[in-house]
Amino acid sequence: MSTIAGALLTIMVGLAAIMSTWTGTYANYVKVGLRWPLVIASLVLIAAGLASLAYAIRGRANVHSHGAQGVGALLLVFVVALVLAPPPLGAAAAADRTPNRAASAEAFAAVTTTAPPVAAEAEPPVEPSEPGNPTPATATEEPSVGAQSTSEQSVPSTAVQEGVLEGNARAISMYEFVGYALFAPELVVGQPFELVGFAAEEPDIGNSFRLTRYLMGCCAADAFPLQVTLVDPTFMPALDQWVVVQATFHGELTDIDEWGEGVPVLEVHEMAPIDPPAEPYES
Amino acid sequence: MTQTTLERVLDGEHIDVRRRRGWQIAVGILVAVLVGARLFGEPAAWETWLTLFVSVLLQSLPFLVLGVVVSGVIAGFVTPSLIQRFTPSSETGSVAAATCAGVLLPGCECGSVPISDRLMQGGVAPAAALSFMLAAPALNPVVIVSTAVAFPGQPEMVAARFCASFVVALGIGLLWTRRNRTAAIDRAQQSVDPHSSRTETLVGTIVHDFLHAGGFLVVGAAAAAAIQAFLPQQILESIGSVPVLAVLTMAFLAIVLSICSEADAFFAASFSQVSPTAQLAFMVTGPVVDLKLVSMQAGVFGARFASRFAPATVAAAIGASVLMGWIWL
Repeated sequence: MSTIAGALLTIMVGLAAIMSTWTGTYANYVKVGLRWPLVIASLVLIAAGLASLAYAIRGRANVHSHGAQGVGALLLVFVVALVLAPPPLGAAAAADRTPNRAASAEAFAAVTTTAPPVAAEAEPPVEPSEPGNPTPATATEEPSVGAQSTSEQSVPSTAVQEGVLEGNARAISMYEFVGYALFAPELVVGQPFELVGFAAEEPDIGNSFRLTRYLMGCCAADAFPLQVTLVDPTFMPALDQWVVVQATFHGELTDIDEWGEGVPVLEVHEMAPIDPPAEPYES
Repeated sequence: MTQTTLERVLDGEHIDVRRRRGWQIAVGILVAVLVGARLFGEPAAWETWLTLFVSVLLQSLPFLVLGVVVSGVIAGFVTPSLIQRFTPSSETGSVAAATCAGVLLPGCECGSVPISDRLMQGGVAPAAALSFMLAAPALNPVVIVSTAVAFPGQPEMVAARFCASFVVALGIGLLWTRRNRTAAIDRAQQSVDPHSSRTETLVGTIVHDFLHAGGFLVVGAAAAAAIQAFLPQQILESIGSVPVLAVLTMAFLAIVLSICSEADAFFAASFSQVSPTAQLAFMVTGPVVDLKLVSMQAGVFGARFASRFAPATVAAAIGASVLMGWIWL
């Protein structure tokens, strides 16, 4: 690859990446915390590419290499793919993955000990409700922490369009809701919650769909689907349609695995279609 | 201008034909798989592949750029005599020092490959540069903190991961001091014009190393995304949950999934049904050897080197995991 072609390619990668942070499509692939590192990296690439171009045009291609640098041309595939902007992971990929596996009891406990949704009602439970739960200790510790940290803590809201629904159910992230439903169900059973996600297929129950959202560590390659099944919805959304919903969990699970974990089944009160959120993934 | 043109012609003639052919075959197979999946597979799976491919590369980009900038600074501003002054004279000593340096620097696996290559060209013993390459992604502060967050209340898991990764980086470095060192490393040689300024060297190195390492990263990311998109995820997950040989299957999963070292602890923690030692094996293997790393190492150091280095690293990672799992977990 000539120095000029290499410099142009480097600039193109930088431009494509910085455009994705500008338009917001980068959030379809990586966690939003990576935005500024991406901007800085893109600027470095653009600057280095421009400088290299300037040296090459002045006939001073200083560094020249023997080797498979031509492989760099493959970066063009990345530029094209990034400009094509494929959609975030959706219903099709979710159908292929085990739901709610990210909600491990230990990780869930670490995230939620500071934000119990119903601290006022946090009575110490007599016994863990699920015999199959690998760490029943988690469920018993949960409420005592909640009781100490008193009532006014707010659960992070993931509702992207405030006031779409009329009811006053508490907005809660899918990760937290699924975590409570599986590992401390006594804290959420019987109360309405507001959840946001997109529609995916429910294979086992009629007239229902699975409200889905992915939980991401760094990028979409490590994302897991979080799912709850909504029965008798007020309307049946198309696959991948985003909805906000208010619904109540009565303790029933479907798609239960050998460890007693599964997909919570919820009764729908209200729901409405919404635009895809700027951050499609929870992280 | 005429000199540059001449150099370009020479470039084309000097390329190692054998190595290039190997890469063309690998890329050809990959393209065939992707075209096949596009034509005969589900369109949804193809779209998932594209999303995952872009995700892996975009996630790696800041770390790769950080790596090539450090590489450029070493090439432009750190003279071999300076490196020699700060590295221990014995090769064993410099392997130990390089491993400790890797602990301090928040690197990522994608960035540490070009840095390691540049350190070798700057006169650092190859074994020490390899130890740095293994230690930087596996042992840095970000990874240690994220492991502690993913395994709350289990400091022994953090300790076991740290110890096992340290042993792997140190052990592979020491092993390479005993082998015929430089012979196996078949780098793309680069000649820097001694008359060019430091800034020119910096710029030239950044662009060169970015294109070089980035190109191989594209190959690795395409392969890792293909495995996730076209193999049913539940098959991969059931591989990880086979109780017998769980350590081996989790190490295998780490290699094919190519998850970045900052996120792999959360992934490992989600396999709550396998033994802690198998979770440890996942976290120790992933940062030192996976599809995108092998691709980059084969490109930067040569396929011959990668064909020896990757199996040695896998064996060391599994051995260290079992040992540290037995001690700590």
